Amino acid sequence: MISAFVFSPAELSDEIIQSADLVHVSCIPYLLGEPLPDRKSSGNNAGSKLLLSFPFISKGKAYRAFCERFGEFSKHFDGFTLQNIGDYETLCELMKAANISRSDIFAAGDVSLNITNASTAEFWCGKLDSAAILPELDIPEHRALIDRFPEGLIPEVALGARKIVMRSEHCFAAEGNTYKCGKCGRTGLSGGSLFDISGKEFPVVTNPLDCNSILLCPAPSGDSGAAAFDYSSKKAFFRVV
Amino acid sequence: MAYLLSPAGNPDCLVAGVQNGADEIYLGLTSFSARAGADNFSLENLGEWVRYAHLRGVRIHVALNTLLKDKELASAVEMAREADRLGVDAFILQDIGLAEKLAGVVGAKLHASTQMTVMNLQGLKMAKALGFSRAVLARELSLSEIEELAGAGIMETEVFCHGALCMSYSGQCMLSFFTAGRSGNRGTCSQPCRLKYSYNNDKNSEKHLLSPADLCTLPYLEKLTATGVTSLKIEGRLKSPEYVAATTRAYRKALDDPKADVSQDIKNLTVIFSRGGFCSGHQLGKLPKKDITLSYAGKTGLPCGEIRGKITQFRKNNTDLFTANVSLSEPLSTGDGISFSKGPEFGGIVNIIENKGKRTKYAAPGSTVRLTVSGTAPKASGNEPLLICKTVDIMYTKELQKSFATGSELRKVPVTARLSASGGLVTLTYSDGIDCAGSSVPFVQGAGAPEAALKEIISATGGTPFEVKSVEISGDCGFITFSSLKKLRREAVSALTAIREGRRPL
Repeated sequence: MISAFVFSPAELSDEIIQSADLVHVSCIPYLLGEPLPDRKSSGNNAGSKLLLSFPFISKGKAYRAFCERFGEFSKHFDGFTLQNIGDYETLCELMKAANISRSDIFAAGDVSLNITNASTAEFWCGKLDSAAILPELDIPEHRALIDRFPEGLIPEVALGARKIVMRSEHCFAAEGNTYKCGKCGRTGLSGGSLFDISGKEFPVVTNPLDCNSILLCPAPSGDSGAAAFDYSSKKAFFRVV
Repeated sequence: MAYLLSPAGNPDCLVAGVQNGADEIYLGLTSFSARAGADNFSLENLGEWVRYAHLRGVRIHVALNTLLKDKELASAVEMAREADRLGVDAFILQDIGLAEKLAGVVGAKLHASTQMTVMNLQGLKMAKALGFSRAVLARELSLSEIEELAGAGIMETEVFCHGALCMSYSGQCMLSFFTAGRSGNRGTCSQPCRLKYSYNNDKNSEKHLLSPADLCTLPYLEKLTATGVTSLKIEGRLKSPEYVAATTRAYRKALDDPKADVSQDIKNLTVIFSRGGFCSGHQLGKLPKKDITLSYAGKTGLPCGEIRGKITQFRKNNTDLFTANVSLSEPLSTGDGISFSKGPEFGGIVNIIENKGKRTKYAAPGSTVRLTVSGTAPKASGNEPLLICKTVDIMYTKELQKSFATGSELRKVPVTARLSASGGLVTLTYSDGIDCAGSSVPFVQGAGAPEAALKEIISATGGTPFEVKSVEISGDCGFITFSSLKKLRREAVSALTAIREGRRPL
């Protein structure tokens, strides 16, 4: 099964919607006013699911706004992608307040839940429907962990996708000392890039609501050997974007 | 009052923390520690250091705070169980799987590492459900956010009060892994934050864009403790024992006396380790960009003077030396280390100080002196003033070293003593809240020694951590030889030592 993570609606192409079984979308653009997708399971001819990601940082204006609009979001997305250990508790509280039952939504855990062993996966089983494995594990370790994932929790392999290598309270794109420069615009991938001295590019994704940012790994890392996996397997989601 | 938690990368650091006033020490073992580069402790010597700390009322927290692979879990659990048997007080964990396996199994408490990125009430609730009793909160929280979490009563909270800051939320960084193949989540961070980066490939902006100054909360420690946080943590398991001694001493003083003047302490800490001064992290609001140490990511020291005139670089006896006139803003001694504010990679050790043509070992602020330094100086850059910074204060360093390198007991455990006669026996009891006595000696009729002499012997606990605060002599203790009394003292001290060493401090 194929999955994808997109940082802005502009990246949410028909191709991705049609080909991916699971699509995670950053919530930041929607919190900034981007129109919500007009359907639940949009274009979902193949049964793919569109999940709205919790904010990458679990505090601040973005987090509060996400919580306030949860009921509205739940009508437009098939589920939610958790970014932080506390997000599960938040999700439960929000579902209760919105009178949504757990079976009505798909809950996924992102790589930031730091799953590197079966015991941790076991903890999330029953709470989440799928959970990404930390991409610091190598291919044999991924294979072994996929085999040991508990029934009822689908592993997601993010080896071949763009990866968030840093979540920072800083804004790497900000100018001056105030964090109020406003230069990042309104949506996702507009934060420019950092370059290391060897010229490797690390794209910056900004959150204008809180003036914090994330750093992506240098240009999509090819498949990082992920092609060694059978993407058609139903045992796991394989994130390609 | 908040507890003070100090780092220990090796036994000297542990002693430095204990002797200078830490309530708690955190350390790593030979595996599964987020500071694999530190010397760390082995299970073979851990028991000795747990007893050392417990005797002095200090708790030991063991950091098993890396993410674990399946093949490592069993040995991590076994290591934790062995450390638990040795009496450690808490485990600091990141891995949820390990927490699940230790919760309810070990006697030690479980603390959620800052690597778990707990930053809101829901995170605390999840940590509690996992069996944690304390959470080390994310370093990016403001005072009001810390107050909200500390005041929620869900569990104990711990925050960093001093030391290096990460650019990323801890536990959410894979930069080191994807740039150097070394995982910060697995204890081998290569510190790519301290390297140079440019923004949008503008070479003019190529600086240390990801390297924040170190945190120092001394200027507003009262506000931080007023949040109700349980424990204040000093970062630095890779730092020297002198750093541990200095930071622990400074924060102990500030905690014990919130009105104390800490300006000199801040200067001392700036010399010991700082990157372009200190900052307040995110605790007083979002970290200003000015607190990113753009020009240099290493140790910089305390500005202490300005070069006047020309620097002369030369070689003598195969040693690089330079001389210069310096107008001092801080005291300087021979043996001190200096660097240059613009060119921290330059500098050296002050060999000679000449004040008005006369050699001196010490020069006061305000004086202009001629220095001879073993080391190298940067080339002059126009008319810009060239500042020098003190990176080693030799006198202060020696003073700090006395606290951990001499076996002296700076940290005293207050006890009371009672000499009593009953049933024909004389008994000496020391108490730290729990009474401890050795054997008793038979009561002998006769004129006893003067009470003052007895009290002097009973109070003579030198060479131990115990300080006798009061001595009570009850009943007619009759005649007791000084040698018998000293024997009772040795036995009672020994009994109290054994009890304290084997007891987890409250």
